[in-house]
Amino acid sequence: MAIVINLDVVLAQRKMKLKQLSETVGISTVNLSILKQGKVKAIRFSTLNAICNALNCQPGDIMEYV
Amino acid sequence: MQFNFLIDAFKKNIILNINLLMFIINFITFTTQNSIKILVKDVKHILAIISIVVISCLNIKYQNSHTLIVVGGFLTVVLIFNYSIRKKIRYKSYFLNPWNFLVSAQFSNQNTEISSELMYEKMPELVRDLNYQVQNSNLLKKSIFITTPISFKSWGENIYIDIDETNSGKSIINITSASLQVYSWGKNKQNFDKLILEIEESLII
Repeated sequence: MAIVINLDVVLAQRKMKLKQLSETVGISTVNLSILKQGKVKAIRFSTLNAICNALNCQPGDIMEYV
Repeated sequence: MQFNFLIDAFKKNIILNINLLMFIINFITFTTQNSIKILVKDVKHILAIISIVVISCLNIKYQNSHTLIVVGGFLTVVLIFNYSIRKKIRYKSYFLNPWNFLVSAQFSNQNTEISSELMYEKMPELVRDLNYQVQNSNLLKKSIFITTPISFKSWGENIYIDIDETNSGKSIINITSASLQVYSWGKNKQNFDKLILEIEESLII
């Protein structure tokens, strides 16, 4: 896929664990792991909004087109 | 003489024969759709038809005997036995035995992009969403045993899931659904379709 997910990079920059993000956003760690690996079929705007809010970042920081 | 006796038997046992007719129509439709390999797999269904015919004929020939009561009693005992051991994982081989006359099982598999570890962790979540119950799970074998609830439309099925890892880090989900009846009227396939749909939907987060 040409879309690359940089969630692990952003998490490392924020020094945040996946479990912490999971608790803040309300999405299971399994689903966040699948997102991190770029294996999801689609991402809802509400999910993206919650992740950006929790990580204080832009959608472009989490994903990029290569 | 023999032929007349069979016709007579069919005429006298209308309810049984309506069921038999429905069974034969469904069976023929199913086998023609799924080629000859199904014929080999479903030998037990042919045996079921023969058994119904034999029971029907015996019941007519020996009207004073208690053939139906004996057969009905036997089936009830087997049904109670099956339900009593239904939720125990150690009877998996019993339920999945292709020659188990009173259980109908169907195997299907599906490739996924997700690793087997993640899929194993994800499966209980999906099962909960479908209102199924996880009876047993094994992290080492990556196998999960779930049961569907008994309802107006269903006798309840046992679903055995085995998740295999491929060389490329992806996984194959092997699903075997077993229903406690001689012939599956589509519930096993429905269970597989439901699970696959749930997996697909869960990849939209």
